[in-house]
Amino acid sequence: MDKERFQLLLHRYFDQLLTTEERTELEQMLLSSARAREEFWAEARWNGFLRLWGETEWGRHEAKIIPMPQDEIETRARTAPSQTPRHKATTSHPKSMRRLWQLAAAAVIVLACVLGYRAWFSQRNFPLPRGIAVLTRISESAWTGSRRSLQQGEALQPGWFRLERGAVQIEFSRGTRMVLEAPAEIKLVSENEAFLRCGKLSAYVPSPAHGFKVVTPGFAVVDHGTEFGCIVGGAGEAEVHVFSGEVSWHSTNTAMPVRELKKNQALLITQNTPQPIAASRASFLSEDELAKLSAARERTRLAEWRTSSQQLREHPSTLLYLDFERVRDHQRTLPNLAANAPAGSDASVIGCDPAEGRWSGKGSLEFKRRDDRLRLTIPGQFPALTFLAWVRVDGLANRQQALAMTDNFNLGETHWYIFRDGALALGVHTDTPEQMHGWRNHHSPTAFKPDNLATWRFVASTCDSKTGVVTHYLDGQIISIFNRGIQVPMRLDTFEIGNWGARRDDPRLVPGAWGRAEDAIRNFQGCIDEFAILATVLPAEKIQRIYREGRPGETIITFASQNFGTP
Amino acid sequence: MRHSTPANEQLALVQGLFVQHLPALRGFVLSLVGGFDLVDDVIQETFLTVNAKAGEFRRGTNFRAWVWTIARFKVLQSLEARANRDQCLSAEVIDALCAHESAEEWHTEEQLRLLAGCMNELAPKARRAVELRYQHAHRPPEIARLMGWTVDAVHVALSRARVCLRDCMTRRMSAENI
Repeated sequence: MDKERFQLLLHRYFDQLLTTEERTELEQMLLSSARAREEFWAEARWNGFLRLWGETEWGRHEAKIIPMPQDEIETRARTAPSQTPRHKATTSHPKSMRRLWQLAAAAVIVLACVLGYRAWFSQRNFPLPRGIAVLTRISESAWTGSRRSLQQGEALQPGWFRLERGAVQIEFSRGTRMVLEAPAEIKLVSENEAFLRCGKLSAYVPSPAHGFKVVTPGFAVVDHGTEFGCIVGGAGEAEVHVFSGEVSWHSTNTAMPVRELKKNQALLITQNTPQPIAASRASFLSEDELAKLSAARERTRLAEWRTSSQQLREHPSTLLYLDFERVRDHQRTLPNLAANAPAGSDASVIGCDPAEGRWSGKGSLEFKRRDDRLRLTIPGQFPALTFLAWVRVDGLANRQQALAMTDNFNLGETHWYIFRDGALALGVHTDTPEQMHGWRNHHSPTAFKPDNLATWRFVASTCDSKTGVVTHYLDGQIISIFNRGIQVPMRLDTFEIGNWGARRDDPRLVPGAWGRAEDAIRNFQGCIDEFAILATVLPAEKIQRIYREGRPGETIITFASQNFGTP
Repeated sequence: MRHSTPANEQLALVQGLFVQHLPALRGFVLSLVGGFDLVDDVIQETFLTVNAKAGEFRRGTNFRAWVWTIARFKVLQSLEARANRDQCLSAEVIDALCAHESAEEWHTEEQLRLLAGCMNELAPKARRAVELRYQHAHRPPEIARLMGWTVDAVHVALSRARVCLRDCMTRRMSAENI
C-alpha cells in the first residue's frame, strides 16, 4: 500500500473531497489492510477531536463577540414605563439559573425519577396498534396522581381501567356507546367486548355493533340490538336491565339455562341465581345527563383558565400572548395580549379555520392547509426564551412541523418545531446567514405518538444562551434537558406560528445544496389554542403550574392491569 | 408523588452513561459519515434507540460496545437514505472499520486545552482555514470562496495544519507527561 497516497485519500475523505474513483481506491485500501484501518481511526480521532474543539471554541467565540442586547431591551423598557423592564426579569433570577444548572447536572436523575413517564421509552416506529375505543365525554375534572390520566377524545387501547369518580362515555370502534359510572373497574377486551369487574354501565348498541358483549365475574350479557344497563356490586350481587330491544344472559355456570331479556325486563343476580325485578332506566346515568354534566364541567374549567391565564399575559417577560378566544368572530388579526407587548406585534392570520379549543366555548385555530399560518414580528435579541403552547397535533407528515419559525438565517434566529418522529425540538442558528447548516438543534425523545395525537397537549421549551441549555416539556413534565452549547442571544424578528416563511426563491434553499425540496415544507397540522413566548427561562415548577391550570380536564381513570387480575 | 422505579433507575443509568460517552460517540459517528451535517441526526436517532432499549442493557456489560453497535446501524441507515453517496463509505467498509475500532479513549478536556495552545502555532491563514472548517463546518469549496483560494490550496492547508497540530500535541503532551 502506498502510504502517502493513502494519507492523501484519508485527508480528502475527511475534507469531503473524494471523487468516485478516489473513494473506490480508499475503500479497497481499507478492506485489504488492517494497518490502513488502524491509520483510519488514528486520523479519524484527530478529525473528531478538531471538530470537538471547533464546536467548543465557536460557542466561546460567539459569546465574546456578540454583545448581549442590554441597550435594546432597556430602550424598550423605557417605552413601556409602567412595566418592569423585561431584561431585569431575565437577569434577576439567579435562583432559577442555579436551578437550571442543577437540573442539567442531575439531568439523568431528573429525567428518570421526576418523569415517571412511559413516553420516555420512546416508541419510535409508527404506527402503534390503533385504539379500540375513544373516550368521548367526562363528567368531572379531578386529579389524584393516578398513573395514567386520559382526556376527552383520547383513543383507548385494550386493557384495564379504573374509574374512581364521576362518569365517562366510551365509544367502541364498532359503534357501541357506553356510559360508565364510578366506582368501576373495567377491561376493554376488543372493539365489541368489555369485562366489567365492578361498577355500573349502560350501553347503546346500534345495528353495526350487534353482538356486543359485557362479561362479568358471574355471567355474560350478549346484545341483540338494544339498550341495556348492567350493575356489578362488590358483594357478588349484579343486575341487568333492558331498556329497549333484547339481550341474552349467560351464566358462567353452564348448567344454568340462557335467559332472554326483552324491553323493560331486568334480573337481579345473587349467588349466581337470577330473579326477575322491575327494570329501572333512572338507576343509570343517560347520555344526555352525562353531556350536561360534561358541559357544566367544561364551563367551569374555561372560567378557571380565563382567570389563571391572566398571570401569563401579565408576566413582565411575556413577549407574546395569544389566547385565540375571538377567532370565531373571523378575526384576521390576533392581538398580542401580553401586558408588555412590543408595538406592532399582533399576529396576522393567513388561512387557518376557527375551531373548538380545549373546552366547549374556547376558540382555537386549525392549521391544515400548506399555507395556513400566523405571521408576526417581535424585534430584539434575547439571552433566554421560553416557548409555551397548547396544541392538538393531528399529524406528522413533514420532516419538521413548525410551531414557531423565524424567516431567515441570521445569527440567533430560532426554530421551535415538532420533528417527524414526534420529538419536540428547538434550534438556534449559530452561524452567518450564508450558512444553512449552522443550526444547533436539540430534539426531545418522542413526545407525540399515535395514541396522543388529536388530543390537547401542552408543550414548552426553554433555551438559555448563558448556559447553552435547552429543556423540553410535555404536559408540564421535563422530557429532555441538554446542554446544546447555544451561546448566542436569540432572535425572533419576523416569524410564523404554524409554518415557515422562508422564501421559495431563496437561492440557499436550492434542493441538493441544502436538503430535499420537501424539507422546506413545514406546515403544522392540528390546532393551537394558546401560545406564549417569554424572554426568560421559566422554571420547571412554573411550567408545571401553567399546565395544571390549563389542562383540558382528565378523569381519574387508572391504567393498572396487574392489580385487577384477568377475567 | 412520583417514585423512582427500577425501570426509571435503569433509564437513569443508561442516560448517564450515554452523556459520559457522548463526545467520543460524536467522533465515532463523524468518522463514519464523513461530513458534519449528518452527525446530529445520527446521534439523535441513536439516543432515541438507546432510550427505547434501556431495559435491555445489563449493568456491568460493555455499554460502549452496545451503543457503538446501535450508532453503527444508525449510520448505515442514514447513509442509505442519502441521495449523493460520493463522500460516503460503503456498508462493507464501515463494517470492516467498526470491527477494527479499538475502545481507546478519544480525548480529554486537558487535551482540548493543549490543542487550543497549538492553534496559536499555526500561521494566521492556516488557522483561519481550520476555523472555517472545524468551527463553522464549511466545506473546502466554501472555504476557498471565502479565502480567495483554490479548493486544492484549502485541502493542502488543512492537511498540513492537521499534521502540524498533531505534532504539536504530541510534543506538548510529552512535555506535560499526559
